[in-house]
Amino acid sequence: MIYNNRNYPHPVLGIGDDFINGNLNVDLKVSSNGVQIEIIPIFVLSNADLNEFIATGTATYISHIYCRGTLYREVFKTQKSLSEPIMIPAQKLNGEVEIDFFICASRKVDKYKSRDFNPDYGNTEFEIDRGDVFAYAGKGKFYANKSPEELKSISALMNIDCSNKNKEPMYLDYSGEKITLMLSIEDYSNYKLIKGNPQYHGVILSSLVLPALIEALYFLEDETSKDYEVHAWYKALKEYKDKTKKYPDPLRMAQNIIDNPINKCFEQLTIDEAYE
Amino acid sequence: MSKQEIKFFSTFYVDKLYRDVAATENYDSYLDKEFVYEEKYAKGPTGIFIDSNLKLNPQRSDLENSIVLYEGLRGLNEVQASDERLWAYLTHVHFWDYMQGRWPIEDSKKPISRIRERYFLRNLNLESITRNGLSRLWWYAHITFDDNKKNKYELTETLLQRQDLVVGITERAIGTNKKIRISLLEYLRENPSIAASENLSRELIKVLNLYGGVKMLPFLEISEIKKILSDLGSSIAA
Repeated sequence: MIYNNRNYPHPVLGIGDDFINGNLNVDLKVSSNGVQIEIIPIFVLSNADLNEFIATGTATYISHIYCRGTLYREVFKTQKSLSEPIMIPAQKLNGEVEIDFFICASRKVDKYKSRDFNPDYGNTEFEIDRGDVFAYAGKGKFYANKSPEELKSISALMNIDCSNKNKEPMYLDYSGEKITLMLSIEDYSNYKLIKGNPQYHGVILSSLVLPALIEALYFLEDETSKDYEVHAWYKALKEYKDKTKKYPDPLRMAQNIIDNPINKCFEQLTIDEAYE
Repeated sequence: MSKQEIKFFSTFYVDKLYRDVAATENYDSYLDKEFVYEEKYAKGPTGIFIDSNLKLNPQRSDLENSIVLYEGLRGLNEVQASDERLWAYLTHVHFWDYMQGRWPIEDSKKPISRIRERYFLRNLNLESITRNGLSRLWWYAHITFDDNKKNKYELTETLLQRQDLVVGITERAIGTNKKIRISLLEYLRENPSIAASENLSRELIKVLNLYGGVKMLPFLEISEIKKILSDLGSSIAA
């Protein structure tokens, strides 16, 4: 859900330039023991009026948790900037989970105004009801029931399968949860012959997986790739791309994801040479 | 009553079935009496059991089938119930007859779209969960089941009285929060004149959705949301 593009009927801290002073930030920690998911938000509020509202119980910190995969949507309230951990059974959440952080009114405020409002508001006073939003801190995201290793491993992103043509160039199919690298019948049967042999892992990675991954990373830059944004492969690659600034180009990025396949390939090929 | 353990199709196999239908445009296998699948891709153990004789009847209403399926799969948790591998197995194997009766391919103007939408659960979101031919039935009951009511499926009845209500509630964000869902369905139940009118109920859902755009409705109590609904209901009925 997107909250920062909405037109609220009163100024909201954190939305556009409604306020000229103050901030609401949240430091988020999420962990799981497999049975429970523990969420610890630490709210950092710098705005005198809203701090006063929190202290008097007029306003409340809110963590709004939404998992589209399991239709889970709940709010958790606290008066403390560091609250008790939020505990959610792991079986309630699956895949991407969004957490949005707010300050909401817990009681009616008849004449709400603040010296920190944008001067454009002049002396306007606003009527605030319970549940109205005072401040928005933005969104956090995590993946439930997926280990970081599971999300990062190449097998979590890509399959190899056989197309129905005898001879044709390999191509990618993006419609599944994983990207499928389609090989012709002849290529696929040769691939099956060597895939179980560790001696050829480097060759498979360099000749099949690496170009496929480069292609997928380029595809990610194309607008049409957004049609696949709910798929696991899209989320994993997008997150990797957004977080890893070390290598800006798909060629080096792909090599980094699959842990330097060219090096592995040469190593295996040269070792074979040495034995001959 | 004999129980059998449900299997899951592997992710690889689900992707393959899905891709094959679109790539080859060949859906002959979806017209057969039995769906022939590759046994090696049906994996277990899953720890999910179902009565071997449990059947759904395509001639019966979604409400009846929803209750039968939910009762038959009461042990399922939300993570399992959002897993495509489970529903793809059930649509293609255990409930194949029901699927063929309820979502016949031969009658469809867009057979490939129907197969992809009703036999699979591609994207983990509100819309696809309530489109898959079986998961929709389970989720309708799950999100409305109320153990505290004499008739535990009272709100399921309200939800499923008309398809536009189902779409309006389950495919919008307001339908994802239990308090909003209960408030809305109880309000409709208590106000049959609005519930019976497609225009009024659609307008009510629309304005509630707009209202929820700027107010944190899940923060409120059910009584407060129902008061808002009452005000909105009065204004649209005026």
